[in-house]
Amino acid sequence: MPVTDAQVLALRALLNHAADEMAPLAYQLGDVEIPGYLHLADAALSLLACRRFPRYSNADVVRYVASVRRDRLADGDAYDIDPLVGENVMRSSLGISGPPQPPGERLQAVVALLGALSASELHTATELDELLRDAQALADRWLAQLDM
Amino acid sequence: MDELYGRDMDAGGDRQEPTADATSQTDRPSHPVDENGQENWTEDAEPLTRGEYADQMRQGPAVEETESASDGHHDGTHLQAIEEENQTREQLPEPRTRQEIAEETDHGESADLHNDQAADLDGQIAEQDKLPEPRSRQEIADETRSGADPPTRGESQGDQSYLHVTVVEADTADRTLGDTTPTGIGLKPTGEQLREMENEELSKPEKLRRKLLEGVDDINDAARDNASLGQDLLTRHQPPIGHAMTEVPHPLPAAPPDGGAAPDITSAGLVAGVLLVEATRLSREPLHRIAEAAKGHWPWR
Amino acid sequence: MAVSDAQVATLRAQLAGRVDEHLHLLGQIESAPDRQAYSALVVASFCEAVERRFGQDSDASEVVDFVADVRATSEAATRKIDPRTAERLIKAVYTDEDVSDVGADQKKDLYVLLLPALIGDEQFSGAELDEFLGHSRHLADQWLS
Repeated sequence: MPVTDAQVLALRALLNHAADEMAPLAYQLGDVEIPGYLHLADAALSLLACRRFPRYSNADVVRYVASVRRDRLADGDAYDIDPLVGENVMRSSLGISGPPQPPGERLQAVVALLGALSASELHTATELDELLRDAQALADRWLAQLDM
Repeated sequence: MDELYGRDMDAGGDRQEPTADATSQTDRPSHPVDENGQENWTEDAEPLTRGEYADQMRQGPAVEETESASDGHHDGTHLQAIEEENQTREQLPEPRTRQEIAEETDHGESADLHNDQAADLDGQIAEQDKLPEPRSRQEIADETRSGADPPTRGESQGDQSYLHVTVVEADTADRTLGDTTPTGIGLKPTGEQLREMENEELSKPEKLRRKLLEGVDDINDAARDNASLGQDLLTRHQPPIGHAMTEVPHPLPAAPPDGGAAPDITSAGLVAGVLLVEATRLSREPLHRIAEAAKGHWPWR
Repeated sequence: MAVSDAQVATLRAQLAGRVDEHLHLLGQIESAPDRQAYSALVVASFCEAVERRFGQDSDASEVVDFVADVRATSEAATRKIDPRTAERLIKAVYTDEDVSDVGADQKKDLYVLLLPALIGDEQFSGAELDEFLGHSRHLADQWLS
């Protein structure tokens, strides 16, 4: 099932830091379309992570996740993410497969890393549109592989 | 039977003389005397009632009546005497105030005291003056008759104040172990209070010892196993020796993360919940405000 | 019981970067009381080093950065050091952080790894290292008494 416009709209709100829209737009997708939305979010994260770290080392991953945590801890302990889960999500986004992560903690890490990377890597509406287009294409490719 | 004098009746009802021994002599009550101090007891006299005996012993009227008036041994003068006595008692001087006592004491003794001691005594007296002055007996009696509560601290009647005591009635679940008193003698401390009490009492080194050293009796194996890595960490800011760490370029991931398995989260509500928390961080608004604002975008209100 | 000069010399060798000497002296600490005293010295040194580095005024982000920097040293450090547990052990020295759920073996590994990392950042001279170990020994002796 290819990515839908509603799923793209919901992810746009997340990457745009639209605080009032990101949650309800995701909720409106319902349980049926949420898995597709999550695939789209993973695709966007991979694109942003590779843009941020065209070449990377283990130290880069460790330090970057720590920097994301440090920024979030300044807003409160409730916004912290599990560092090991965050590092694994980053590695998998960079193409290094790893062990499955706890779903809840993984989702929190994806949202946190998407928020940090979109803030540092996307500077215009055009860049956001291009990213969403590329993410939709990547997610469709992945979903096609799963359907095969 | 002569109850007053402890004489026993024999089986025939005749009185028996008390035995003349030391014990009986000691235990034997003294004979009543008249106003002149002369014994007016006669062997053959009719036995006195307790009241009469008491009167004679005191050379005055009895305070309490133990026999009914129909006995014929009492008249109205008895009651009058009681009132007179009570009146006399009430006419006793009122207790002096502490200040008055202190002044008398001070005049009599300060000349003999060292200056410091006098100053100490003044200090003590000053402290005592802060305590409530004793009330007169009439005042106490009036209060008791009126049913008024004694004044509590902060509710002084003039310069009188009393220590306020708060009584806490403890429920069974809250009572100290073994406490079976009607209202409870105290409340059991909660676990958090016990922990706080324990923490307050321990010194910082002891707290550290308990937290960080307990159970760590032999660190040698860990030290040996991690010696090489420890050396790396000790020198991690020094310039690396040999080749630098290699950064590996990567292609765009060809497959979804986690091997392409379907995400374990299939609940839109769960995802929306995580995003709501993120929204509070982004907007610096509390959660309820974000939720309220988000209502405008919900399909239903 | 008290910390001995030999035990101080053992730890000093490690913190001065003389690993071989350290391992040699470590092998001579054999009896149970001596091992206990050496353990107390290592843990006390960890506490002293944390207090010196973070004290009372540091916030959580400084600890996060330090642990990340330590773990980023190598893949072995990344694998060996659990970041959350390391952060909690450090905070336990100067806050009410409860670490009763951390196992003794995990604590031992973290002490012997975080201590040299902390000392490495201090860049002590010989005299400064001696002074530091003097404070640690004093604390350890208090624990052992």
